[in-house]
Amino acid sequence: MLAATLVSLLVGQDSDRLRSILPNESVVFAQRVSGARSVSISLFLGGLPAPETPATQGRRHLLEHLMARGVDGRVDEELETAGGMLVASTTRDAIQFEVVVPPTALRTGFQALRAVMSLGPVTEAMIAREVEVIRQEGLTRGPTSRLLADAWTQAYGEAGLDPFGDRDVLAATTPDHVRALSRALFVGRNVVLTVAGDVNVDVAVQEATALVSPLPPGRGGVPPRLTAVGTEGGSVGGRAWFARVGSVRDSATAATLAAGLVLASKLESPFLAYSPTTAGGLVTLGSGQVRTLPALDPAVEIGTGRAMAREWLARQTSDVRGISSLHGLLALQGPALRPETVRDAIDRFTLDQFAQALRRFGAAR
Amino acid sequence: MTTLPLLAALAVAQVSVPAEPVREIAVPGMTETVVEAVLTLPKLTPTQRAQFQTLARAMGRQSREYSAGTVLTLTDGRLPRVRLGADHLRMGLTLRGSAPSVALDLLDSLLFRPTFETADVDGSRTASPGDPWSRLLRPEVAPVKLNSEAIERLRRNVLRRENVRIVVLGKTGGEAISQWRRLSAADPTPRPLPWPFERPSSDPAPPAGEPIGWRIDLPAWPSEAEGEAARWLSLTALGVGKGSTVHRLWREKQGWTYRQEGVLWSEGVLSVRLFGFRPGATAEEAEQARALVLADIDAWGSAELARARGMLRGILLTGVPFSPLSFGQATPANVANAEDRAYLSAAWWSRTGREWEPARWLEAANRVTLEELKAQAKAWVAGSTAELVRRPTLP
Repeated sequence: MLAATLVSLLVGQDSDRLRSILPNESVVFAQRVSGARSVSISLFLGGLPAPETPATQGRRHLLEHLMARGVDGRVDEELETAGGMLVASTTRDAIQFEVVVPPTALRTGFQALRAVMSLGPVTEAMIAREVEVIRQEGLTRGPTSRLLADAWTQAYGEAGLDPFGDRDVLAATTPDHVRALSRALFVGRNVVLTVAGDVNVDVAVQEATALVSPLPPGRGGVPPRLTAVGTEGGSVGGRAWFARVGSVRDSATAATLAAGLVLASKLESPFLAYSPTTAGGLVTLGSGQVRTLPALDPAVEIGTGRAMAREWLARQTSDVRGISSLHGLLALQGPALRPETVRDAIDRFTLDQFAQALRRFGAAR
Repeated sequence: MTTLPLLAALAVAQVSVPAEPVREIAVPGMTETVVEAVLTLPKLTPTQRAQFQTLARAMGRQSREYSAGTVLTLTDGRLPRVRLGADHLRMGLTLRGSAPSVALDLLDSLLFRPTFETADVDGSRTASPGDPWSRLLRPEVAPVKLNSEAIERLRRNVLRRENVRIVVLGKTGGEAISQWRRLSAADPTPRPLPWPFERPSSDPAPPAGEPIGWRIDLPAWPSEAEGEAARWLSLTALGVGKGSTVHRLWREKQGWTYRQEGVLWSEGVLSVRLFGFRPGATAEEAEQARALVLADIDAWGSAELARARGMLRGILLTGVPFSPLSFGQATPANVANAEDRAYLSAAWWSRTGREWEPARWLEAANRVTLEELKAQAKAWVAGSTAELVRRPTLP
């Protein structure tokens, strides 16, 4: 009840979507997806309050590992007995804890996130254990991860550090470092909680509000990219190609995404990576093959590119996990930012912007 | 407690079972049409397998009837799904709206009458191996060169109508089955071509790669439906989720592996395999890993049974991340999306001759006792073998 009265701004879009900005500036969002088999609840912690440097590279990843165990270590048992699962990930932009549960286990899902948010005692032994787990995790990383990391280094230098982490930095991390990082990240503006599934959005927003409204205020969002180093675009070993992009609001960014999608469609078993942020970033594509990209005629390909970009966006929001992830990442950067912003940029890009994007990938005729 | 809503949710699909290898599952209100094919591979020699692997990587782009541009136009820019498993090829398409006849026609064309760009076939040979976990599940063979004669032989000997099972999901009413009949009559599969004689290689075997982990092969999943719920529960108790035996023992207790999972596998027969990723593993560790799992089953209690039931609901109904429904594919299918649900129906049908019946299994799982669960799991693990998996030596 108290939580409901604290909501200072409701950005109601329709009866199936509700976004609230709390007094501490945390954002909560819920979307009803009728008939969905599962509910996705995602907690985002932006990276802005603690941008990673060579001296801290990977500490957010380590924090993610420590928090995912929950304060009493029983998070997974309770979730799995209810038919759900917890997954966690760390990117350059944010840490994401996501709980996927059946619609009947919504409360269990929120309880799991509450347990994850309560960072318990941290000891050197616990850190050493997780550092070893992360070392083993590194062995499971495939060639695509390495190609992406190399592309970021080429384009952004130290501002594109791999969030997976540096082994020496992780080994030297102390419990004080971890606690300080947790305090820095758990501030109002830096926290977004999203819910997507066959749920009552009012109930979901109330539950989410109760979880994050006690957090202290403080600034947040995604870390800005520096653009003073690196190249606008290029190739990584002839197996991946990247182009630097600006804000997700810019039509030039949408043009680059469209160009990347068209080029990826020409490759065998392609991958394309793009994280929509206002801070800018990269569109990276590849297939693991050694080959040259085809030279394309922008005027011929622009229609296909725009259609593929629209389809890409539609696929990001075609299931509950995509909805909670995309809305969470966008809301972290500004309460007004939403998938429609991306769609608008896709609708607006010009032939000239599309041609420039192909050139940055090295694929314009 | 939650069984009734689950059954209601699953009851929307009406399944028609025709004599043809095409099954339509009508989903009222679905705004897309999904078609998924499972093409069972014949027994192939390592060379033939390597050739088909190269070819499969270049499939799904264009065909005799459909150019690459037309394919993308029809699919709204979504690339056809082509994935080579241990014993079958998966191919799938999604089209906007209700279009079962067009979807079937396009899939039939891409699957049985594919055409290839030289660059695609050549390029697929240089593709780097997948991520380490995928390589643990299914080590790839070395890519080989293909000429037009080899391509034609693969087309005639592997891409055969009698080896396929197709499931269409959407607003359907028999159109896909009718289309299949028309296509089969108009384009019967030609007779197979004899494979060329393969001289036994006198070259020494390539040096074995470093171990990347182990796999525990459990006995074949029986073909009869009886006892299926206990088998599903055993899979989840042993290998799915962080409360599973392999996670608790191999990762948490021993600190051996970052990733370990049990998966439903298909390689000639259907079975469960338990994988542990551990570069540098030894044969002794693999055997010890198996022994630890076997010993753990005796200690299972009501909490393990409850978790296994919950996790089964998670993988068969909710669609939790980290699904074990692999069927021999490096990327497991997840019931959260329609494409994978269609694939699961086709794969299960192809392997067991029966329908994919998650609602029935979930309902039956509530009646499985702890002792029945332990007996099934124990029999499986006692009859299993532990094997080191080595990194393939690729050129």
